[in-house]
Amino acid sequence: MKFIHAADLHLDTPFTGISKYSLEVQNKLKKSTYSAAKKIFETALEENVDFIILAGDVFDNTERSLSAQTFLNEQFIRLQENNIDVFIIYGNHDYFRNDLGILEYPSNVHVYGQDVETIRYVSKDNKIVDLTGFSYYQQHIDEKMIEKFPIRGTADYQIGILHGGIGDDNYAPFQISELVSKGYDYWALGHIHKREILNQNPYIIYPGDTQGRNQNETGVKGFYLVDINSNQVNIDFKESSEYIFEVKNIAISKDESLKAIIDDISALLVDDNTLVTLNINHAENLDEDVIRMIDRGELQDQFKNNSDSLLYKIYLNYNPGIALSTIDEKYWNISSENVFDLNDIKDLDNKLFNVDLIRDHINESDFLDEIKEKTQNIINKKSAGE
Amino acid sequence: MRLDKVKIYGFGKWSDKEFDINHDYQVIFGPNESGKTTFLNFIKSVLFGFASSRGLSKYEQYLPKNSSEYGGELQFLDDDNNVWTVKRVAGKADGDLTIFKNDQEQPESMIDHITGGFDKSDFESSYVFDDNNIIKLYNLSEEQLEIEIMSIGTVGSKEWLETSKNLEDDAGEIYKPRGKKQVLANLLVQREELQQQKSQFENQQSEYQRLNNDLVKQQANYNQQKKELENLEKNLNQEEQLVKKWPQFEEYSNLKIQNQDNIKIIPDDTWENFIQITQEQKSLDNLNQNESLKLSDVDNEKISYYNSQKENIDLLSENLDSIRQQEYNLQNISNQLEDNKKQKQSILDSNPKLIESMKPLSKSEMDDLLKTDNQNNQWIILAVAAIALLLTIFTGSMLRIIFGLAFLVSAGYFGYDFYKKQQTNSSHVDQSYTGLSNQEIISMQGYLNQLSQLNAKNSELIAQYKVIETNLSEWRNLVGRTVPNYDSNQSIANQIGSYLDEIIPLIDRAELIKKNSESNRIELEQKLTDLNNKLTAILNDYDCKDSDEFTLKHQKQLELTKDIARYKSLSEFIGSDLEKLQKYSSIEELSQKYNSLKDDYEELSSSVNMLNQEIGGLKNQIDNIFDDREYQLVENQLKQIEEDIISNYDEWLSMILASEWIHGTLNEASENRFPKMLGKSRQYFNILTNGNYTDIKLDNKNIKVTRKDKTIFNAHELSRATTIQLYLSLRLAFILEISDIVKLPILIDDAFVDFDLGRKEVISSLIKEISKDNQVIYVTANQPIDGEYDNIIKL
Repeated sequence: MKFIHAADLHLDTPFTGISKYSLEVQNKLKKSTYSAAKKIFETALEENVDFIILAGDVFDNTERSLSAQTFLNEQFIRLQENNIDVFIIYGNHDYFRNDLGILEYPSNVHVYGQDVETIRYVSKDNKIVDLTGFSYYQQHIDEKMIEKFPIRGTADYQIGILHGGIGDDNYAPFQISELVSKGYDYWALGHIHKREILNQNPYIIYPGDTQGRNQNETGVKGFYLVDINSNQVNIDFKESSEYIFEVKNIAISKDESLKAIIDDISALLVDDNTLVTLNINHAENLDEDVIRMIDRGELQDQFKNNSDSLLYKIYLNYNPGIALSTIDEKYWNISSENVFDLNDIKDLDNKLFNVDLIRDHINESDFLDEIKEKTQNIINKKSAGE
Repeated sequence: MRLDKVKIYGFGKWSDKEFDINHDYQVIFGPNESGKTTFLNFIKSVLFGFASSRGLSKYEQYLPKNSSEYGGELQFLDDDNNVWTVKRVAGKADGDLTIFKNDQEQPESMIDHITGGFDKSDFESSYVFDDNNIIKLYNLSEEQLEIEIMSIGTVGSKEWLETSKNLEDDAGEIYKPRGKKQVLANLLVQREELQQQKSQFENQQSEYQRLNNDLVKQQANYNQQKKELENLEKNLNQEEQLVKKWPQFEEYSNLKIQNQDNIKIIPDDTWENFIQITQEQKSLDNLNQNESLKLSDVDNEKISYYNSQKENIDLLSENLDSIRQQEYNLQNISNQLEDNKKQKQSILDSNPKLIESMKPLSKSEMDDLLKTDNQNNQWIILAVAAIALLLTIFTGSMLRIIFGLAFLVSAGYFGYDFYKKQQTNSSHVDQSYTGLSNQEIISMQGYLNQLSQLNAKNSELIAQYKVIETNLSEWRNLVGRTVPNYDSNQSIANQIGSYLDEIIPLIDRAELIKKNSESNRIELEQKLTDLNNKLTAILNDYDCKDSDEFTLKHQKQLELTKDIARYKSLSEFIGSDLEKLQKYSSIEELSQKYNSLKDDYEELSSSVNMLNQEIGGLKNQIDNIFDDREYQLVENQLKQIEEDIISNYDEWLSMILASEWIHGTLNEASENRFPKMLGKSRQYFNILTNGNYTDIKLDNKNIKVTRKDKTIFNAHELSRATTIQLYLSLRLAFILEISDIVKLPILIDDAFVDFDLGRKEVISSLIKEISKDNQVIYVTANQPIDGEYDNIIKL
């Protein structure tokens, strides 16, 4: 029996910071979530799988998903013509609302409700498969939904479908041991965009999203083709990403010329269909004019006509100058503890904190670390050059 | 650690100069332009690097005036008597640095062991006292002076505070709590606008649902109205039909059809029967009239004559064709005879010498006559024989034989021909030809032959004529006897024919008359009586006096049937509408009903059309929902703005935090150092103020001093001079506080020249005091009073 496990398609995701590229590249990027999805369905047809599991967050934007729904519907009909079923759960992004799902999907598509339910399926090689899962009906689920999943039943194979995070209170929290204890043959997870195999026996897998959507979602993206045969489970990762976000680093040496820097960057922009986030380390060695040039975006402009490997963003990282004198080091450290206090930052400006966007940003788990890094970078920059 | 020795390779005006500085308090005296500042700069340059050639600092480069090597070395002696040599010579950027500990080369970074990580500006702001920075203090605002004082506790604090200020300014460019022009504020406004714009777009799904619901509702309305319209249309058509049928209905209503139950209808077969009977009657009557025609007496006479001569007439009739043929042949023969006669005459006429009695020549007579004309041929044969003879004599053996034979043949023929001629001439006869040439005789032979043939034919024809004539004359006799009005000059065949033509129809008629005998007549009359009876029966049946009445009656009946048929056809035409039509009293009433229905129909029809348009519009709107470009544009802009907001917020926040961090660090340092510094600074302040002030305290980041009369002042309440004394006390105390980390000498460059004499004494005793803890190098242009210092280097 063969099936595909994909998650977090995020159809219709808008891309930012791409207006500097050619219209063709912009269009390709805008369509990339669709292209990636298409690869899933094409692989399903090529491999003649039994079914496809979409483990949540198929849509990025539930307010206007008609074109995505239309697209999916067309694909689903194609699958139906080829006797391929689809099992879908809604995730935190596309959690079910009354106005979602206007289009009625064909009968080969099974959409899970808000309670944990098991749908029985008979595979092409006459195996009975139980697929257990549930859909999000609100954005956050703090309940431990995993406890409602039944212990493995009498079917030949049982598969769990779950959109959530390990110990993440907002998103149907679970522990790996809890999944293992259910005795299932495979756990198809969604939600985390970074691909990860949490467990081998049974396989508990986050396939990651099918297309990187910003510079933090780096690397090749795709889905898993799973083959279960007499209790042996083989997995095969398939690439679906149209574009790949990459992070590359260069270090500036003292008195390095602009031309040398451009050559260094050119040498990094070699992989096809990549969006490269470039860290320029030891920026303190850059000439002030060059820094200004970079700040104005002129360095990026040098590469805007690249068609394969695109320079997406540039970050300047400074190393501390000698001015952070050893006599004051301990005071820097003591002060840092006082400064980087999340509550203080929240209280810093009420108006800003009341902006939902900023509040959400502040509440992100790695916010403090990132801001500390940025602040340190500014201090470094100041101590180094100015 | 103490600076022990200064070795100058080349720096400014000095080359290969060495100074031993063996004391904790080293005074260096030299008048103006003697090189005091150069000396101090040399120390700073070796420790922190040569000044760069760019900008203002190039004046601090002090490149050697002569050719000696740029740079030099400083030797320090630490508490364990290790010698540390710091050597800096010309090289990349700020020079090549080498560090030795007792001749053992050390890594470059070991410079921090001496400088504690200080850079030049840190050193200058902490360890170097010169006129400038003391005078500057006088020019500072109170607030600045306070900052200056508070910043003493931290290295480079002034610069950090500046940086912090810059960061705050930069952050202010991005966002200020009440500012509206700043980038972030702008972005937030833009975001709100875009969100507003986005909210104008209805939620796609609910919009779809709303429109779809509308569509379904209107579609249902449409369907219902359409159905109603169809019904109405049906009714309308019905009414229209009624209107159209009204004239027929009127006609129908007006047709007065009598009650037919009492009338005996003449069925079609009875009528046909009646017609047949009358016709038969008529034809029988005709037949009766024809039979009344009788044969005339003449005819009867002719018939009786015929009957008497029947045998002969039949014979003639049988042989009529033969007689006709014979008459024809006879005529033909006489015509031929006439022709012959004419031909004979014409031959004789054309040949006057020709006499009828001449007989044609026989074959032999003719040949004889022809031979006399052919003598010339003999001489040719003779010549052939002679030539053949000559050739026989003169030619070769074989040819000679052939020519010999030719001679014999031709000679032979000549002989025979000659003999024959002799004979013909002798047999030439017949008297009738006398007087005629041979030629004439020969040419006459053709005509003679013709004549003899014509004569032969004539004889033959005459014989035939005689036979026919004999035969015909017998017939003629018979005709003469039999056929009345015989004319011997006429053709008998014709006369027979005419007679037969006349007599035969007469005989046929007589035969017919004979057939219609009396019995036939009785049968006919019986038939007539039958027919009459049948007719009377029919007439009686329908109470008619006679046929005319019956016919009239039938005629009426036919008209009635026509009406009935019309009635029926109208009835059929009107059909089931009859009842409906009967409900209306007039066409006006019907028209009124029709028109009101028509109005209803048109009204509903336009309503249906409007609904249809509405449905079309809804469908169009639904299609448009799927076209998302405008929304996507707003969505993309929004996403971009949000990203910009986050990145600006991050930048703003990290600037604010950096500034806070710097402040925090400075405060932390101050708060930690001040209490320790306060002890020493209290002592120094007391010395500097001649015991006027007894205490310095730190109270919630504010420095407070106590006068000897126990009055407590805030720093900014002090006189400017006292404030500067406070500043110096604190700064010196700070140097001692950090002396475990920074092991550098205090450099005083005529710093206190403007102090009045009393204070100068005070400060010099203070410096002496301090030099016990930290080496002091005092450079001055003022001639020291003798015995004032233990150790003076004169430049």
